[in-house]
Amino acid sequence: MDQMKIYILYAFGILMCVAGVIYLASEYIKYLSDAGKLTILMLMVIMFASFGKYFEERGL
Amino acid sequence: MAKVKNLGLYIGLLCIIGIMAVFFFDAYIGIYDTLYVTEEGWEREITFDIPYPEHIGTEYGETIYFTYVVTNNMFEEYNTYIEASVWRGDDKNLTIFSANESITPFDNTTVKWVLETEKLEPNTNYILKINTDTFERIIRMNFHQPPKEVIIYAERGTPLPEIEKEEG
Repeated sequence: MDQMKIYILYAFGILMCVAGVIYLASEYIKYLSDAGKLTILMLMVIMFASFGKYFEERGL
Repeated sequence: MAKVKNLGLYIGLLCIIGIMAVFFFDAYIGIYDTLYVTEEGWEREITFDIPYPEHIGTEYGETIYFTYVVTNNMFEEYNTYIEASVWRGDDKNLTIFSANESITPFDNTTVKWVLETEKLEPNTNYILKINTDTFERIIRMNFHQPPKEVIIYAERGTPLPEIEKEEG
């Protein structure tokens, strides 16, 4: 039961982080140039691929 | 070639740093303008980052001093035409300032002009338009003039005319 509570807290924390990042991105994306938006898109793709590979190797 | 341990983690972290760097760099690079307005001895900074037009309201007859700074944070020279004009509705009333300016990379230029409000009409809504090749800035203006006539109200307690009761 305690383990379940910890998972719920993890899920809540991750949800809040994702919501915060989405909110900040929606607020500040308008200040970026087209080249900046494209660069960030590419960096995000590489970032998610790298983190995915890392967690895959760790077996999570 | 030896495999780097936790390579994916490091690349991911570098990407996060890269995203933050893009935000900072992109915010710095560009053309920016700031207007300083001095009215009745007070200086106000207008950076045009609010979604509605700024407003200047001063007493009619005052002189308003404007200082307009255009900053070029680009890698190339920026040539622009700057014009400040006063509009009443769709009619241009007055051109206060106009000039061609050339700004070297990572430098700024400052232009100044003065608006004598006596050249305009009091208690009328005007628009100050600042046009460059990049921006069109709009500032609402109104110069209030207090009424010269003194209104004298009738004294209170004046007896009302008697109403004759209808006899029926």
